[in-house]
Amino acid sequence: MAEPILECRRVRKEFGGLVAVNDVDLRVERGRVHSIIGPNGAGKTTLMNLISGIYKPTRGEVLFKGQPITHLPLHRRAHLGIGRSFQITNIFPNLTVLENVRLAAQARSNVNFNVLRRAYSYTDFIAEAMRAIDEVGLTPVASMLASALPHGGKRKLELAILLAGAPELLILDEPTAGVASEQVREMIGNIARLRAQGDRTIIVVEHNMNLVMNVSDYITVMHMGSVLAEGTPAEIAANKTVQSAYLGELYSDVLDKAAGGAHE
Amino acid sequence: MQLSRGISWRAAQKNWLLIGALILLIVFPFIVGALTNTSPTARRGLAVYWQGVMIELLIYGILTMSYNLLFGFTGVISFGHALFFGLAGYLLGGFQRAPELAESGLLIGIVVALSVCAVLGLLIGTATLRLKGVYFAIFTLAVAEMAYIFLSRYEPTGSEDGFTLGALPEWFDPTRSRLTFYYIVTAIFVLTFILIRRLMESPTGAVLLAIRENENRARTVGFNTLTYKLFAIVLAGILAGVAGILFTLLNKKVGPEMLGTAYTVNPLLMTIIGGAGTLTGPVIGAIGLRFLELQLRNVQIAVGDTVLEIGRTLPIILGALFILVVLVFPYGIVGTFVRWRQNRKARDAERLAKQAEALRSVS
Repeated sequence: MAEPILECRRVRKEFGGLVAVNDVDLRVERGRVHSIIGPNGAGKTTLMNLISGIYKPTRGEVLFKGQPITHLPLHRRAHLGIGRSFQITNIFPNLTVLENVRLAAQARSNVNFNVLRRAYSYTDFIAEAMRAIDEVGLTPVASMLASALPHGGKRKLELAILLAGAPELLILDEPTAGVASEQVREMIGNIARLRAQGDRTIIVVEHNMNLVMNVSDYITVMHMGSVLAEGTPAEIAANKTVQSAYLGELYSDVLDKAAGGAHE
Repeated sequence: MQLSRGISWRAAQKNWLLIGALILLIVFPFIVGALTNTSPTARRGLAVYWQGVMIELLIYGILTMSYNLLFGFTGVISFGHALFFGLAGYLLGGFQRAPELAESGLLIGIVVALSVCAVLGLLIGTATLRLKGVYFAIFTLAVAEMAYIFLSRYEPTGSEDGFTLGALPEWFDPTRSRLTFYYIVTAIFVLTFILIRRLMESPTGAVLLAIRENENRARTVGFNTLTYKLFAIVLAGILAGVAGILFTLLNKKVGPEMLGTAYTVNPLLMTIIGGAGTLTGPVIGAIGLRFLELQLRNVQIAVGDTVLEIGRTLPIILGALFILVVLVFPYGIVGTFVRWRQNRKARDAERLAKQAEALRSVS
């Protein structure tokens, strides 16, 4: 097996007495869509925060492309190619849609500390931003303030910010949180399209089983801070422990379909 | 490139107003001279009085612009801005009046004052910018108040009374050559405005705005926000120091009140009233508010036998005005206008896009 793009080695995070992430091992292979599922409080978002650098682990190691990044600050990890979206909408509200995305394009360049030129004279950042905006379908509202967008639009904007950063590893934390059900299909399409664009790895934290079973190559199930099971969607769907511990009857129809080989 | 043309056209349109304001500032002494029939180059008279008023307004403008850089553009709330303003005044005064330095004391004072402001900004920033919002504000307040209390009891600098400057060279003396001093202050004011404007149009300025809007997001996108915040606080500190130096030269004296909360709260209110995070708002807020204050200070209204002194109730009047402005213009006077225009433009763009789509589906 090739070297994984991301590896967590016995990563642990404690908040006071609470063990949010309990010695988790995680290997994310390059070019995959790797979903992390599990009930609320399973430690999924905390694990994502450890990977993107918002928290430092109590113990354990995080490796990106074989390099340890455990102690790197947030912005350095972004420069290495880790992009992140958030469960709670996390944008720059009083800037235009274009500026929100343009900032992400600017962030990965090295012109940031330059007071002599105008930001808008870097037309390649604008072009990159417009491409990302177009990709998520926000072109008509590019000059609008981000705060004026409806909720679904803000989720799309998050995705555009992420795309403009051109990360090798994308972390999507509940991309469908609070999104209307008809837009979930759109999001599935977006993720599938992202994946099709060459050398990109995507970690998706999700509750929506329909989305997870449709887009994932590999699934890790977390429960109470630990990894409960890992495998392909078909394996996870057929896994009795997972079914009883988490999935239950609620998603049985989706699971049966997946277990029946609906997915490759 | 439809986009870039649109932007530069808007910039040109905006510049007309600014160029007009600049011309007005340049001819102001002569207009007032003509209106009051006094000479703008005389030692005293109404023309010279109004020059003095305008100099003070412009100094307030510089101080408020510097506050806005932190508060309005970077989203950092400082309650200790007066520290830079007052300390620069003291340092300038101290070196300027030192007899052993003679004429060079003025220049040394300016250089030392501004350097100390920069270093102080760096120190305070490094020590505290990791603190979130209100904790940073309280820390800066504490430092400024400590300096205020210290200087109001420190006898070598005249305790509560402060001290007066030594004799200034004639061409630089705000009393003897007020017109020259007026143009010096005007030039520094205009340069400060241009500097902040260029900064906010630059990639660095874009990052400052991103920090104001959502610092955590800015970090996840890949900006080392601490460095940018440090940069903002150092630059704002230097500019507040510039204002403090000019203020000291104008009054030819310093006192501990320059480090008092008034010189932090006033710029804060002026920024909010004019429009935090806009370029012209804080200037308009500063000049407008200070002008009102100066004009209303000596007004008396006779109601029957009793004479109401407006000056005494001025804080109440200004307080009421502040509440009114905040209610009517939630983003400040200029800020609310800018937002309104931005929203209208965005709605137009959206409508056009929808029409284009409708046309495409028809044809």
